[in-house]
Amino acid sequence: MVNLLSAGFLRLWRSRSFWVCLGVMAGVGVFEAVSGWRAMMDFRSSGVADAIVSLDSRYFIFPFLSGILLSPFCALFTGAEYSDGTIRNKLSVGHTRAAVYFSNLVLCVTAGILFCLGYIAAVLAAGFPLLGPMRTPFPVVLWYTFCAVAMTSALAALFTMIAMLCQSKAITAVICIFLAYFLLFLGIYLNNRLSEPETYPEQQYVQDGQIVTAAAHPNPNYVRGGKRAVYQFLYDLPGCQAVQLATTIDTGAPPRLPLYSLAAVLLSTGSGILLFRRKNLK
Amino acid sequence: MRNLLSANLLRLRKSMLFWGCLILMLLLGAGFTLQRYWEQIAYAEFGQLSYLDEVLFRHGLLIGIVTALFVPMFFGIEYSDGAIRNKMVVGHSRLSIYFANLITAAASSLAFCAAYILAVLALGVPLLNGVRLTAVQCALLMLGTLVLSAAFSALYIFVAMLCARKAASAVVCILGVFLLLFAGIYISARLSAPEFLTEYSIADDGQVVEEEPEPNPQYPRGLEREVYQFLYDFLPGCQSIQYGDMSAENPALLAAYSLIILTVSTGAGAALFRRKDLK
Amino acid sequence: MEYVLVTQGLSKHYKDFKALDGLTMHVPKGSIYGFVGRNGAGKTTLIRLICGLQAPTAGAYTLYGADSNQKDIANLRRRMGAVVETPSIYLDLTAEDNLKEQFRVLGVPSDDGIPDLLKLVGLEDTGKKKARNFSLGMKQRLGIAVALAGDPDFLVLDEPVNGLDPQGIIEIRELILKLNRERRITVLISSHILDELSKLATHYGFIDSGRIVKELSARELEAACRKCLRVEVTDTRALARVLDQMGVDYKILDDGQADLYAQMNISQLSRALDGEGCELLSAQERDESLESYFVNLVGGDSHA
Repeated sequence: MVNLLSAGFLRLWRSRSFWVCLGVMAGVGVFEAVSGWRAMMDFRSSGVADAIVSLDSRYFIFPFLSGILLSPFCALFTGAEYSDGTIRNKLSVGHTRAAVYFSNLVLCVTAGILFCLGYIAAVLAAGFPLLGPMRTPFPVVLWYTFCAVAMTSALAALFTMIAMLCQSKAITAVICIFLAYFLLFLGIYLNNRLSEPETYPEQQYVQDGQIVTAAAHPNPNYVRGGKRAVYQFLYDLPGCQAVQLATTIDTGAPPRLPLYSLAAVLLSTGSGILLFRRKNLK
Repeated sequence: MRNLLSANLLRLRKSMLFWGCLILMLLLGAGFTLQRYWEQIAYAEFGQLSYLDEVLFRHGLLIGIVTALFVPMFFGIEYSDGAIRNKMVVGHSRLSIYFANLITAAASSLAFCAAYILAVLALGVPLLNGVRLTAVQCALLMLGTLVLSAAFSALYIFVAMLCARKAASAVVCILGVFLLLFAGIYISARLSAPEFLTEYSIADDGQVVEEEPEPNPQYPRGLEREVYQFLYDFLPGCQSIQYGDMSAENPALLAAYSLIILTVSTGAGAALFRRKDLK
Repeated sequence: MEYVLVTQGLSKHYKDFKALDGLTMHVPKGSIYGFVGRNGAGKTTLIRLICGLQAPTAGAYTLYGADSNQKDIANLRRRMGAVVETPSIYLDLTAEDNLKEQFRVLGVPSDDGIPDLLKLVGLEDTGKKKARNFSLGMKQRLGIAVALAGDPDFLVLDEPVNGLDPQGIIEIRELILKLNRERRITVLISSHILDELSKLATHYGFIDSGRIVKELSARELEAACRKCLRVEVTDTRALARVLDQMGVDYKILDDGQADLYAQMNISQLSRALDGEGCELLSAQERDESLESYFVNLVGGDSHA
């Protein structure tokens, strides 16, 4: 296992796709900080209050990105083991399948965490001087970062499972990328559905210079009962969590999110190893 | 060239991927139509009606994603299995191989669009209300989406023919189309920002007072706006967004831009492919 | 002599690496041309060039007398078939579908020839099995069948027996001989398995570092491979004296053995040795093998 990891980390270090993904994360971090600064300058020059732009909103972009970048990375990096046949070299010298699986999992999770750190370092380095410190208290930021990193690890575990079970690198890549986007869009959709108000409140609007009051009435779009529980459950899953993390910074992320991520890691890895052990390799 | 096309067609007929994408488009067409129909029933009390044209052109939004999956996988096989060599060895020119693949890709994407439209018409005509657009508008929108799908095919063929690794071209095409779609969403949001911000306040006597509108600093002006507008019309992913939310005001212009993209990417792709060292 | 393929000073450079460096070769019509070289000598690069997969950096070649820079070279390629490196087949199609596909590429109007072709390469019983599930030998044979689809009279095979089992090697060899004899197909085979090649080839080209070192026919090669007589004697110093007197080329191997490079009269040699008080224990005629010829040609530490 230690040998596999040291070989794997060497390969990671030399992997071009790893550096490209890390570069993209850091690049987007700088871009977010700078575009936030430009928006702030716009607001300032036109005399509008600058409260709208803060480092916080730029910081929590990375849960969206890490999964998207991790999907092709895991597929190509792990898939190369099959396409180049190097997985045979590992098994034939006596490494167990579980060890091979775990070492790939560790590499993908590490890469995911490094991608997150790449963004964080870049957005803070560029954003701190331009936008000033964050408004959210430090422990909260730390907790959110932890949740996001846990979610990224869960996605890495999911992509590793797909890459280890599918021998075609190209198909793995397609499945992983689509899955990453699907989870993201699902998250956005669920966020919209779940944040519908239960009732339309009493409304006041201006008509002919007079204030008119409309009575409150129930919202037909509001998701109720068992359906709401299912939606909420899906919304808590890794991938969809990214939306939740980016939108709930003011209200606090529920502690169950990292637990769900952990459960996803355990489930995908457990079933992945089980299936991988029985798999006929070429 | 005819031989190459007929060989491609034979392979297309036996390709699970092709039939899978075709069925996916059929299902998406049926799904969108039924969703509209159910909404109409659910909101009957509010008098909301669903119209056929709300879903009829949405393949413009989908086709970029589906062909991003199909083209690199289907044509990447020629490299990964080495079959492209069989074509070159027997004397087919690189240009004819490139064009035969482009035509096959464009034809497939048109078939995917047709599957979507067919499903929408089959379910939508009996279930939804009719079309609110004029025949000319419909024809232009249809033309625009179909040319757009050909432009997407041309871009993906460019990638698939120049990158000998199937997995890499699949990643580039799929990430590329999502990037373009996000660019479309972003530019759409920027362009639709209000030009002026109006604030209301309630005066002491309970009257609502409309304050002097202030210019919105987030509203792109001048050259910036022109650049955004051009990109929004020019980029295939942005065009997809326009067709998806039915905001395309000038489909003829969009179709012209798509033709430019098709021509330029094919010209560049064919020129580079001619010089490429194959293995 | 009529040549199917002639290359003149063909060069191919990848950045600083010279894969081919002014290579000149002649493949006679009707021959089985063995193209010999160690790994990385430039064999596959040459094949890629003549198949039109890559363009040469310098130099040119003629196919059936037509220059490679001419426009109609593409039409002449119609008469060529090739298997480059790995067999070029669609792995998710059956053997029959692969041939159908190539028939379309070639514009062959009818699929009638497919069963014969499958029979020729021994794949007539594969049915609905996809090429992905073929053995290496079956894939190789299907690759050859695809190359034969256009009824070519020039077949280019790149390491056709690489990785095959002995049975597979024999099958491919017999197929190539059959094609050459019955259909008069000229074959260019690259290989580094010299022993195998020597059972087939009528002509040889030896390549090293992107150049042809030597080009000759099998008959010339046979003549060039010096016959030698390995003798066992009780006293090699006495042998040396005798051979020097007779003016014979020789090489002492150890205390009791020596190689003699001449057609010797054994009785004469024995009598002469007797006079020096030395006994002739045994004498064996030996051929210098293709392998040692090759090693001599391109110098030591060869992988061939």
